[in-house]
Amino acid sequence: MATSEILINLVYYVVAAAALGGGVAVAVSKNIVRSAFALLTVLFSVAGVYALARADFIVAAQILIYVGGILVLIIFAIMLTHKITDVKLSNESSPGPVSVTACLSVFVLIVTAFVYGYSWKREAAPVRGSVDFALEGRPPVRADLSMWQGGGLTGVEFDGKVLDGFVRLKVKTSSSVKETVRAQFGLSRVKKGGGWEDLPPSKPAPFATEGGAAVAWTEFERLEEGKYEWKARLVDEGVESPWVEFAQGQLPDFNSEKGLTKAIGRAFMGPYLLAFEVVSVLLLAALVGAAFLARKEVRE
Amino acid sequence: MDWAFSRHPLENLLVLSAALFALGIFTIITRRNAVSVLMGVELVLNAANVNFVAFSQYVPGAGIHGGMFSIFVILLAAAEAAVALAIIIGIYQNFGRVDVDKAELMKE
Repeated sequence: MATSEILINLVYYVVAAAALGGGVAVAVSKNIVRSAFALLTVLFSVAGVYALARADFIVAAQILIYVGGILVLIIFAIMLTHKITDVKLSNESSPGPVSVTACLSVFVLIVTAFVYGYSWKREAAPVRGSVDFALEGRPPVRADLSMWQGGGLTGVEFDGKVLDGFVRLKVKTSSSVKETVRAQFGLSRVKKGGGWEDLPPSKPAPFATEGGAAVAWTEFERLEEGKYEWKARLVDEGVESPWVEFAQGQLPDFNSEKGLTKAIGRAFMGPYLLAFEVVSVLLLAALVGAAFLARKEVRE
Repeated sequence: MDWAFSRHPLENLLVLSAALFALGIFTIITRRNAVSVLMGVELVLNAANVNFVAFSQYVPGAGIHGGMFSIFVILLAAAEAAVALAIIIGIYQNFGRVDVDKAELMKE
């Protein structure tokens, strides 16, 4: 694992532990003000989790609306419904074995049934299926080639394929291969003046067995805008197969389109326009209704 | 097996969200103070949001729809908190306390 990867894992586990600790404090704290401030920890930690998932706009919305709005409303509700001069701000709870068992079983059920009982689609369909790699003097190795976004940044679709500045290429053979065989990935790019220019290929990647098949993959990061062609070949002790082409694709300028904000703005003004307007009317109605409910009753 | 976040981000986020969800449900069913119940609801909504963002970001080809839904959830949570605050203040004015077990006028 690279240092940056270890760092990301470390940050994630610290943030997740803070979220869970805050959640436990919300659930069991004897003082309601402590519960409210534990909720602050949870909301900030969840914002951190969104940041690790590269959902930048949602981090901002979480902090602005949840922490800045909802949490302030909750603290208002606490302050308005308790005599603050009381030393003991009661926060009664009646935890019994039934509720503990129920929640534990909900957790275990979700984790086993949905998280580990189902294999979520984590990669795109092969862009080219059943391609033969011919190594000299050996039977050809038949493989599927796939290409997908690696780092979780939501990619932009081109010709039905999802690409982004962080592209992962994968070769999956239909049978196992010899241990010395490596897969090498290359790419070439259209030059400004026209014509193709080869970029340095990846280091040959070893194959790992994955249920009867062998898989090798690599990632190209921080690719510039332009039209690319992806290719792969097999390498074995001085013998090389010819390059096999994956696909061609256009990469947009990711320096100007980093993150979700621009895409979310476009979606709000496009397919989600009706929902956006309905939510704005609903917020207005909720605020008017809340003001109506909370006002002092006028007795005649 | 390797459980690191960088290798299996989707599973890690789903487990975190399941834990937050269970804690939220626990808060909702054990607390008697209406404000605490509201906090439990916020925990559950946050758990759902983590799921939306995780699926949106780590399932290839999912696009930004999960992110859009999480923004709508955050907006609706704001509306819900405002209405809940008003109701809690109404309960406090009528009963003098905000115990969800004691607010049972509709039983009679």
